[in-house]
Amino acid sequence: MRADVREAAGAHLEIVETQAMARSTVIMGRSLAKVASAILIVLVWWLLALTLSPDVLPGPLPTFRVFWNNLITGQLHTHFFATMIRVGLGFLFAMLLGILAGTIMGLYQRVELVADLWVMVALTIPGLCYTFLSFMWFGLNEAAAIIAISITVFPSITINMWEGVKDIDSRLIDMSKTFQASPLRRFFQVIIPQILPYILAASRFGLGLIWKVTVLIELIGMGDGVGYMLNFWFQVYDMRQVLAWTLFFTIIMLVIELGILKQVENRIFAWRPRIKV
Amino acid sequence: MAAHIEVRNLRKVFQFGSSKRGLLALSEVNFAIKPGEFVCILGPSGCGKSTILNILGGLDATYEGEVLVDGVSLSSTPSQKRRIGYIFQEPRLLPWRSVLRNITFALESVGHPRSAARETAQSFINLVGLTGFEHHYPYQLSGGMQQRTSIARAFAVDPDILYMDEPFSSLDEITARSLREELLEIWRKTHKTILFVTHNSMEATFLSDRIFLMTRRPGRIYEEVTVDLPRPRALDDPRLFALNNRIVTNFLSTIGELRGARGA
Ligand SMILES: Nc1ncnc2c1ncn2[C@@H]1O[C@H](COP(=O)(O)OP(=O)(O)OP(=O)(O)O)[C@@H](O)[C@H]1O
Ligand SMILES: [Mg+2]
Repeated sequence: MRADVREAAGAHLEIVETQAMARSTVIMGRSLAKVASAILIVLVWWLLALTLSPDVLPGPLPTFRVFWNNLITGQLHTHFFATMIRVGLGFLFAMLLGILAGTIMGLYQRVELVADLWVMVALTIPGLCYTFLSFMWFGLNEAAAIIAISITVFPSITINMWEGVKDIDSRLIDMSKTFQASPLRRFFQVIIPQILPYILAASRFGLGLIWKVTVLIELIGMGDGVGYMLNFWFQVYDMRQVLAWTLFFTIIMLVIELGILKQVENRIFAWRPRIKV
Repeated sequence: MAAHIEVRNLRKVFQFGSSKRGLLALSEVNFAIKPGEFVCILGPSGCGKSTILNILGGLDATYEGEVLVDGVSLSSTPSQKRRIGYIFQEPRLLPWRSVLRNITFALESVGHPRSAARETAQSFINLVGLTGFEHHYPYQLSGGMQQRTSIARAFAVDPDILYMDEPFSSLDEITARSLREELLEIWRKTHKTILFVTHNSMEATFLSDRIFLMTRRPGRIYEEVTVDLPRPRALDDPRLFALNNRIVTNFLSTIGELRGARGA
């Protein structure tokens, strides 16, 4: 190829110094902002607590003391563990069911035609109804709780997966066929990467929902778990305990959301342009 | 010389859902291409050019008639045995893979070991002038650079036949020119059999040994034009212009005739 033509096509890589801040600086700046906003929340809480009676709003320090006490007496572990098992199993079953149902609906138009109404109905029914139904049918036990959790969350996962499978770009599959890619390679290297964003979105959404449902279910029919403890302290009107449990639970949720899911997402999606809003 | 690709009485009907009605996209397509030949299919939009390539490329197996590659029917050749490179109208890169890994994807698909694939990929990246962009993702490339990647990918698998479906039609003329020259250069070195689809008659005249002219739907090849101009060709060669004019006039009169016949 002629040099002048190549020149015109402009395939040159030039590394230039840019004005933009280094990535690490940006990340550090963001983390600092997060820490500052957390401190701000505690500060506001503290100021509010000064003006209100401890029965209405205990301050951060007494709340933390209660939390610490729960921790060293082992109360925290027991109930937290019970909740985590329910969340984990419920999430697992909801994901399995949702991915399966969503994939089938995305692949087969006939199933989609029939099932989309079911999914809409399933999505509309409040989680509370599933909980009551499940407890009434299966009794007040662990299995019933996990069933209720799974059923409540699985419709939204189904919908995500359904969209994802419908969005698979068949042109990329054709491309891989012209290179004789084996069905296995096609599945893992062409199809899965296309659905992965949907699976991840589904799990983040599902997890957010599942915490709330689980606490509710524990409050209604379980003898342990974070939801049970919240209800217990509510019954005896101990504001510090209610706050301590809420706080603890929120922090754990945030750690999982920001510390794990968000990191996984960033790592997997390096290939996508960063959207600046 | 034995034909590399031979198509006999190819007919294609697109069925509308489950109904009995259908759309006749190709009727009676016949042609033969020699090994190492560069052939263009030229025809108006919607005449069935992509349909032909899809069938030859093994992406569409529902057709009537016969397609022979090296004398063997396409339908009886196991797909793993086909060694083709397919360049689509759009780059069709995997957006989650870098330039290098898009090419190694194709190489590993056709059975290259991983380590060798990287080296081969790199040499084809250099060939299309993308050195330095190995680790860029498709979204970080311009349209022309994406198309180069897809060209590198098709050539890297060392195919016997290359099918190209209007690969430059979405690019600006300057980029398209540079890629055409690049393509001819690679073809000169490797002497693959190339079947190139276009609706740009100047492009067809510049590139090919022979041009198949197609009618409007239902598509049919109504004439073959041999381009016996010496290579390398210059775009401003008056003989190229003359031939191009002849093709366009011929085309317009044929379409006109067909229209007239239909109207009568
Ligand atoms: N999957 C399909 N289902 C039904 N009809 C189709 C399908 N693909 C193509 N067709 C029809 O077949 C005809 C030929 O289409 P084809 O894509 O081969 O045209 P083309 O010559 O490549 O046109 P262009 O230059 O615009 O790409 C068109 O009229 C189109 O409507
Ligand atoms: Mg086409």
